[in-house]
Amino acid sequence: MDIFINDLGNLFTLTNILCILLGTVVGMVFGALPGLGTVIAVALLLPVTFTLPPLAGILMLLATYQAGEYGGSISAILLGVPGTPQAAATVIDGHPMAVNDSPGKALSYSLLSSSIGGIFGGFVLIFISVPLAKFALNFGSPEYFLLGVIGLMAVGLLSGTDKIKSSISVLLGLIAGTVGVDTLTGVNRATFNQPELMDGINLVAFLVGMFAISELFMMISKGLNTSYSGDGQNLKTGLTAKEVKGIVKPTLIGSLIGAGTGILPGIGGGASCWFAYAVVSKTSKNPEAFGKGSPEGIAAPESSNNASAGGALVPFLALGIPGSAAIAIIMGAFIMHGIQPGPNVFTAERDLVYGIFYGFILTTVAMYLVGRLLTPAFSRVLVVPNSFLVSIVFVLCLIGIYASKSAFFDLWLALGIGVVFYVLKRLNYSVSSVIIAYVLAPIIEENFRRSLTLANGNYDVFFSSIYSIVLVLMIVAALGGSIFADIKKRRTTTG
Amino acid sequence: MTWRNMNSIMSIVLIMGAIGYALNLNHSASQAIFFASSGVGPTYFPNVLAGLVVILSIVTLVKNLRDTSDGNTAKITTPNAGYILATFALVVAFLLSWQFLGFFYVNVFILLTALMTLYRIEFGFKNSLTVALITAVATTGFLYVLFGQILALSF
Repeated sequence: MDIFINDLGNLFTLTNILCILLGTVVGMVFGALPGLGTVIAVALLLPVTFTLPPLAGILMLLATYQAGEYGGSISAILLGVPGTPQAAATVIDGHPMAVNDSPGKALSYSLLSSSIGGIFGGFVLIFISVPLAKFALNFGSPEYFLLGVIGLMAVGLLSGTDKIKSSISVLLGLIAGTVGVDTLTGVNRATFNQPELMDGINLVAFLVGMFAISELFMMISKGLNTSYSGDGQNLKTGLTAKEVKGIVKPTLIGSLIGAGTGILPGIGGGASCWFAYAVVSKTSKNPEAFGKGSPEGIAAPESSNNASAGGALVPFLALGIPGSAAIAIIMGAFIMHGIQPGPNVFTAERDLVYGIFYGFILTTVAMYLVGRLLTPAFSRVLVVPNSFLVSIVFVLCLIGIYASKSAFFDLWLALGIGVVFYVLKRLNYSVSSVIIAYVLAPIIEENFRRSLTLANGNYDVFFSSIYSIVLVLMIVAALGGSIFADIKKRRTTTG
Repeated sequence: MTWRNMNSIMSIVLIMGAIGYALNLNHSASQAIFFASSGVGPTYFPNVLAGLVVILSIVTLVKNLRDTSDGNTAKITTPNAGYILATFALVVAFLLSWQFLGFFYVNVFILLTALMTLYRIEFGFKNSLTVALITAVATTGFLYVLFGQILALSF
C-alpha cells in the first residue's frame, strides 16, 4: 500500500499534470486536423521532452497519443473527414448522427467510449506487462534478436500493401540505425566524415523530416485553401443514463478487440477500429441502424482505437518492441533519456514504469475532462485552411529540430529526409516500417553480434533454447503464412 | 513522367545508395578487421543490410519494368507542384539566411509572410499580403514569447 501511495505521489506533481494537459490539448488539436494527425503531434513534442524529467516527458507524449485518437473523431463526426486513419470507421455512423440528430451527442458517444477504451487499455497494460516482463527475463541475446526480427516482420508484412517495398523500408530504417560510432567497438560507421553523424542520425531530425515535413508537402498537394465547414451549433457534450447504457456492450467489445490487437505489433488502432465495427455491427440487436447514425457504430471503433494505445504499450514496455510509429517515437524519448525499454526496465526504472502505468490512466481522465470542456473550441480549429497550418507547422518543425541539438546540419538533414520520404510515400514505401526499424536497429544488431560472439560465430546459438526455437518457428510460420496469402491472392486475381 | 519510370529511378537510387553506404562503411571502418574474430565485426550487419537492399531493389526494378498495367504506365500528376517547389526554395533560403546571417525571428517573420502570401495568392496579392503580415506578426510574437522568453532558447 505504501508503495502504491508513493507511486501516486510521484505521479501527481505539478510538472506531470501540466505536461499531461499540454499533451492532451496538442494531441486533440492535431488529431482533429485532417492531414496532421497523432504521429506528427508526438514527433513535434519529442524535442520538448529533452528539458523535462523522463516521467513528465513520456506522459506528455502518451497524453498526446491518447488525445489524438479521440481528436481524430472530432473531424470524422463534424466534417465526415477522419482526422486520423484510426477514426475512419467512426465516420460511417458519427457523421450521419451529427447531420441528422445532434453533433454534440455524437461527440459525447465518441468521448465517453474513447475514455472507457483508454482506461481498459490502461488496465490491460498494468495486468499483462508485468507477468510478460517477468517471463521475458528468461530471454538471452539470441531471443532478443529473434523478438526484434518478429517485430520487424510484423510491421513489414502487415503494414504495407507491397511487401517488397515494406521490406526495403524496414532495411532502410535498420541502415539508418547503424550510422554513427559502433557502441561495441567504437568504430566509425558510414558517417561520411560528418562529425554530426558520430552519435548517429539525430532522432528528432529523422522523425520530423520523415513524418512532418513530408506530410506538409502532401498537404500542399491536397489543396491549400480548402476550408472545411461543419455545423458549429449544438456541440455541447453530454449523455443520459439510458444512452450510456446503450453503448456498454459495443464499448466493451471494442475495448477488448482494441487492447488485443494493440498488443500485436504492426496491427494497431487503424485495423482494430474496423474489426470492432464489423463485430459489433454483426452482433447488434439493431443492425439496420448501422451506417445511419448508430451510437454503437461510434462506440465500438472509438473504444477500440483508444484501448489499442494501452495494448501497444505492453510489448513495448515488457519486451522493448514498439508496435506502431507513435510508440516508436515514444521509444525515442526513452532512448534520449538513456532508458532502454524491456524487462529490465521494470527493476532498473521501477518508479518510471509504475508512473507510466498509473499516468496512462490519468492521461485518459485528462482526455475526458479536456474533451468535455474544450471540444466545441477544438471543432472551430477545423476551419483553419492548410495555407495557415502548413506555414506555421513548418516553422514549428524547424524550431523543434534546432532545439534538440542546436545544429544546422540537422535542419538540412531533416529537409532532405522530408523530400526523400515525400517521394517514397507517393511510391507506396512504408514510413512506419522505417521508423520502427530505426529504433529497433541497435537492439537487433547488438543482440545478434553478442549472440554470435559468445558462440564463436556458430549460428546454432539461435536454436539453443526452447524459447529461441519457439520464436524461430513463429518467424517461419509468419513468413510461410504471408507467402501462402500472397499466392492465394494472386490465384484469386488471375482466376 | 510515368509511375513506372519514377519507380525505376527510385529503385536505381536505392541500389546506388546502398552501394555508396557499403563503400563508405567499409572505408571508414577499415580497422574493423581487428574486431572481427568471430566473423561478426561492426561492418558485418550493415553490409548484410546493404546487400539485401540491393537485392530487393533489383527485384522491385524487374517487377516494375514487367508491369505494363494502366496504373503503372499512367503519368504522375502532382497538384500544386509549383507551390511545393516554391516552399522548398523558401525554406532553403530561410535556412541559409538564418545559418549565415542570424536574426532568427526576423527570418521567421519573412518566411511566414512569404509562405502565406504565396499560398493565398488566389485571393489577390494585396489581400493575401495583408492577412499574411498580420498572421506572421502574431505568430512570430507568440514564438518569441514562448521560445525566447519562457523557455529561454537562443537561436
